[in-house]
Amino acid sequence: MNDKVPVFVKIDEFKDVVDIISLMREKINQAKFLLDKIAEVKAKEDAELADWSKDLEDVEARINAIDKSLSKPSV
Amino acid sequence: MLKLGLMLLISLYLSLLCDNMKKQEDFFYVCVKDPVGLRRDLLLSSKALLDSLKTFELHYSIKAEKTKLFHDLKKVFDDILVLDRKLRSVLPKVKVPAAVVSPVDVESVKFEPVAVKRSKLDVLEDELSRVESKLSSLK
Repeated sequence: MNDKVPVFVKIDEFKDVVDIISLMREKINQAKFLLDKIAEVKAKEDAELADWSKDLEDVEARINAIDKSLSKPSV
Repeated sequence: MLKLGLMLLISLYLSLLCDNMKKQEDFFYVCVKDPVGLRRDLLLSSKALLDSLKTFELHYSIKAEKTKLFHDLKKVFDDILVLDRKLRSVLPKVKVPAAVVSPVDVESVKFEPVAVKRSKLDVLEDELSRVESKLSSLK
């Protein structure tokens, strides 16, 4: 079978095809929007994780300083 | 008699005093050079931990939002899949040459029991393989 053979679509079905493609385009735009929102939320989550990590490091440094001043006192 | 009682009282007092001194020897005094700094460090640690706990609560709301977005996205993908099927059904059927299948030795194939219940993933995989076979036959 030749791939280049033209295909004729009945006009009422052609309207259906156009409608479906338009709907699909709309859905694809919705999916794109949702993916953008998910990326935003993920970035927010990553920022939170970075904050927690930084907070934990700060607390660790302070506890180390306190521990040092209590366990190895300078005379 | 009175003298004996007094001596007993004095020995009791001395033994108590000795015990007290021993207890005091158990203590260990540490010189804190910067007590204000130490207290500040402790308070700042508490503050950082409380801030983290506060953001944990915020995190739950973000997680809920993310779950909702994923749910919505899945719904949109399902809709797109349905529309795609509809489009394929509306478009004219084009006969494509069947894919060449190599003959299989039936006796060598071992049949295993097939699970009756099919998950949605199985259905999707079937559809995917069907589409892929159609694509390969078009090439």
